[in-house]
Amino acid sequence: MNFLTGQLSDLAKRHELLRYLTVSELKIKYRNLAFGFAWAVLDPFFMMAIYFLLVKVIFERGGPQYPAELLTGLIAYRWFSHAGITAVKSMISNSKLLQTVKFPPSILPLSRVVIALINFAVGLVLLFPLLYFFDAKFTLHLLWLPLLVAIQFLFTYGICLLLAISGIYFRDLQNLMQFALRLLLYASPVLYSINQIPAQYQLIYKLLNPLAGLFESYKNILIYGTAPDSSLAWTLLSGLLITIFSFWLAGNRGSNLTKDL
Amino acid sequence: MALIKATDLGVRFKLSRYKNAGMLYTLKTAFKPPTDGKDFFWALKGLNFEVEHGDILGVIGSNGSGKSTLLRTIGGIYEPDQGTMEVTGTVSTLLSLGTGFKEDLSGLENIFLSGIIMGFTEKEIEEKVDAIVEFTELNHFIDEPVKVYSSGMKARLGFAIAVNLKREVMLVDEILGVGDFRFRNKSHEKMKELITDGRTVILVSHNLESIRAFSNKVLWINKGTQMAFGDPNEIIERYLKS
Repeated sequence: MNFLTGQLSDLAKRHELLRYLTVSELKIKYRNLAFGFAWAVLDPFFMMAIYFLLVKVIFERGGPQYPAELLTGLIAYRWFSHAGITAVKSMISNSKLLQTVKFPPSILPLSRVVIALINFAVGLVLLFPLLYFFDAKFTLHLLWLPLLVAIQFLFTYGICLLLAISGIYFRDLQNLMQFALRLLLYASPVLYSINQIPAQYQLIYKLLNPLAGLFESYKNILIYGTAPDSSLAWTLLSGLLITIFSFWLAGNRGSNLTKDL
Repeated sequence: MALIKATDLGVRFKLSRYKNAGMLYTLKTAFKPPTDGKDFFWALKGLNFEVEHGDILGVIGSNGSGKSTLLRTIGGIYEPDQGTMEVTGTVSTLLSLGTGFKEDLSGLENIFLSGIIMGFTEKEIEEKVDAIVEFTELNHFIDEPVKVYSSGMKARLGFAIAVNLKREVMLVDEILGVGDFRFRNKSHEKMKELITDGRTVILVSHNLESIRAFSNKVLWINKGTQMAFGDPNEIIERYLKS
């Protein structure tokens, strides 16, 4: 477990670097846009509008609370997908920097996860009025939210670190990402509810996609006012395992990472 | 006691055709043990030298001789695959010619970002930022995004950051030749200041005159192997004759 504590303390020591990487990426991303940071709200809104049109208007599916369910699932999904698609090239695109200055490479995917988290938080601001409008039940179960966010952070970072390292060795991963993420969207309870899946397949569905339980849990606590789905424990466990594995890989590759860039 | 000590230092790289050779090739060769010369090459091999506190070590050699690899190994970016590299004291790698500058950020923002990446704290940079801005002579351009800078302006910014944010050991890779005539003079003055300041500097340059002017020790490497280490004048003479 030495590799874990060592790398975690390295990351903790460079918290100023994390902040700077995050803020400068955000500045670069939004500074040249006429609507600037408003895109953090517009993005999930447009995406929700499109799927609403598709599912509710064209296919005439979805219940009375569908827009709220849709946006809840979408902002959580987008946190993961946005982090993943930027993290996969985070080390490759900074190869010159990694070969000039010594700093922990694992901080690069971490900043991508934080940036996507900030977008998620902005999405939440948009979500709450919508929840109110669509008669969501606000109960004490809302207090689960920080825990859900923490679990998603862990899971997302584990995957993103793995993607960033693998991305150095398999450049094809960048091309694969958008298809993998599209598949994940359809394999997650975002556009639909988990109850619409036949009961006998639900277990295997949640096992294969650890994010399914998490996304369903967001809906439970934010809209239905119930406790998180029990499969949230699987999200946590798999997140832990993946993160530990990724740190092990990062430590194992060590300085070879910079040589292989 | 030596600040930097290399003992039988060797660093090797995988040959790049193995990096992006496609899936089939990767799969076929994944489990084969690598062979020397075919699968990897030694960028540095069998280097032995010592740098004391206050030394200015000039590193010379033709293109591709391993000079930058050596700097990166001293900076801790590469680990030796053979022998040892002992470095006591803090090392600053110069973001030579603005590596790591974000084109969309202003010069000022890049000063902070570069400094933080190099491991300085925000407070340390704040103390130095006025001196850096003044040294760059960029005036109001310091608030413009770096993408509108000329290459000379970028180089000046990189140099100003590098020489003002100081560490015990400074790695200087080919940055003395930046800018116009006047700025070159100014950067030479600044280098002299660092030397009298008692900094330990590792200087990589093709400009033998500046090596001769600054260094008290010279390391000559060719194709990764050590040709000579010691007195600058004598080694530079031999290097010129080779």
